[in-house]
Amino acid sequence: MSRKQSTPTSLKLALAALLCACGLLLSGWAGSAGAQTITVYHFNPESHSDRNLVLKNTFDQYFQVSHNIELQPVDDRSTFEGLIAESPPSLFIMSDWQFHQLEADRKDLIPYLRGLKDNNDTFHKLLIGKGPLSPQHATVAVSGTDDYVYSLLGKMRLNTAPLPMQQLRLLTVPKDIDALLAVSFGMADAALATENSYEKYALLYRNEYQQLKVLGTSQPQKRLVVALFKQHLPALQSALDALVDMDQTPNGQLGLKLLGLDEWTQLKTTRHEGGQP
Amino acid sequence: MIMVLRLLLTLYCAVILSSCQSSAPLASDTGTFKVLVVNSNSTLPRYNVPGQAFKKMMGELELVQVDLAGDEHPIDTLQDTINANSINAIYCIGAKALGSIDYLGGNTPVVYSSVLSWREFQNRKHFFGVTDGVAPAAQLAWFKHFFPDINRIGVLYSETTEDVIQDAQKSAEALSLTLQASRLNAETREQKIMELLATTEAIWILPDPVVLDSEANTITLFELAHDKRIPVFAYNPFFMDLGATLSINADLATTGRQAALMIQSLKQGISPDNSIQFPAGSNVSLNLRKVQQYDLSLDSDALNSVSELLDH
Repeated sequence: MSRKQSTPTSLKLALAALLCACGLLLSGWAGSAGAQTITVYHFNPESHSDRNLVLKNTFDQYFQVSHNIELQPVDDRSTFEGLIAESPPSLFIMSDWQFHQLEADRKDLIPYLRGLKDNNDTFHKLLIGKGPLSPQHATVAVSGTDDYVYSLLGKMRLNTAPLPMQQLRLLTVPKDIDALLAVSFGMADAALATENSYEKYALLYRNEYQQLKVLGTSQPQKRLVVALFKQHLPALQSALDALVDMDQTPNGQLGLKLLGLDEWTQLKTTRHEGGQP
Repeated sequence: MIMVLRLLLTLYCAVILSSCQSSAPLASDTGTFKVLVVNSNSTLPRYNVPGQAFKKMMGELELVQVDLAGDEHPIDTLQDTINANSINAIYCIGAKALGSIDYLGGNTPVVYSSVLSWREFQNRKHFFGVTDGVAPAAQLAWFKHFFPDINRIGVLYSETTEDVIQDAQKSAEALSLTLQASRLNAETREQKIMELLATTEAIWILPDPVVLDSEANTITLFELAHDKRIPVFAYNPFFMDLGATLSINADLATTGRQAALMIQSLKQGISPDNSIQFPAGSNVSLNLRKVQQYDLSLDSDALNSVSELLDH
């Protein structure tokens, strides 16, 4: 009798133990999934990529305080786009120009955060030189990638004759100030620089600035965007929150300054809500 | 008979001379433009980085590449290479490459970069180059960009860098900076340093063999500046380890790209605008701990130009 009774009891105990084990396994899996590192990829064709190490160190120092997130700067566009093609549960910091090129093919890629500087999400690039460019050959110092630069120059509002696009030679330099100095010191005929850099140059080098002229102005350019695949939004919320909070700590502010930003702001109308970025 | 021999000798010389000239045309008859790239040692980033950037920009031009790393007979190697190829232009990376090509002579246009002793070659015909360091005027501009409140910059120099100081004085004036230049000699070294530190807001280090005459003296200079909470601005990231606050040095990839543009000009039959160019790109190293320790006013907008941050 006791043996007959003991069998169901044993089964119940075994079942309970199994359920507990499954529960533990499931909770362990969930815990480990929650602890998985979220990667934030960064590539910006608007600026040179010689600063990847300093960006990674600074961002990771900020993220490590309370988040399981890492920055992974990417050297070139094809690698960056190859990563996006795999649709990983990651965040992508990129230029607005590049985002608009990608969004046509990837409808599920949504912009979520926008960089701000001086409460402004827009900037212009200026073509600056000492005079009109020679139609035979002209060197333009630039800090962006060739494809981005040609795209920008092609749509520029010019104050001079049309640019000799076929004859233009690009000298890629690390920074906008380098590009402006290259014009002042005769290594280039013109520089492509943000209006902010040009204003800084005016304060910095009054004599040289006075010899420079704005030859053209780009279309308004939106600042950096943080994009993600819509389906990954819940899993990436903690990383998005960490980015939004960057302006609250010195390390976070440092990371933002390295990107030329003051803060991130959440886009009010994103495509997944039926609006436009 | 003697007249005939003289005539034959003259003709022979003329043929030899004309063949020598035709061995180095600006553009070959076949339409291809062949560039000899001579690297002093491609295992070192100082030479490899500009070489890679150069190659990336050259596109369809045909390159003949020679790496002189470990080569004990570089002149023979280069002579054989030149004999075996119709070379239209030469790009030398580093002093070993340039010195060897210079020894061989010839009329082929030469472009060079990453050569510390570039001044030795600046007056050679057919030689075009990118200097080794960022222009002093550009260095001063960067200092002001990061620290707009610093107006008086002290600099120690000797006879070796006197011409640099003369140019820098004009540049400093254009930047609304005051350059406090103090000439050093061995006897009055420490006294001069202390006098300068008493009146200046920053010290600018130049590549001067008298000022930086020994490791010990260089370290002492940095220590004295640190004791007075005076930031040191340098021309090489090496000095960041000694306690420099800011360093501006040439971006090596950009020098390779500048060399490529010079070669492209030569291909088009155009002499580069300047036979000697300063590096157009810069790498910026900043020590944030020093900025805080010395309570310096840093323009935070300049941070998006930083390539290397230390001690933050």
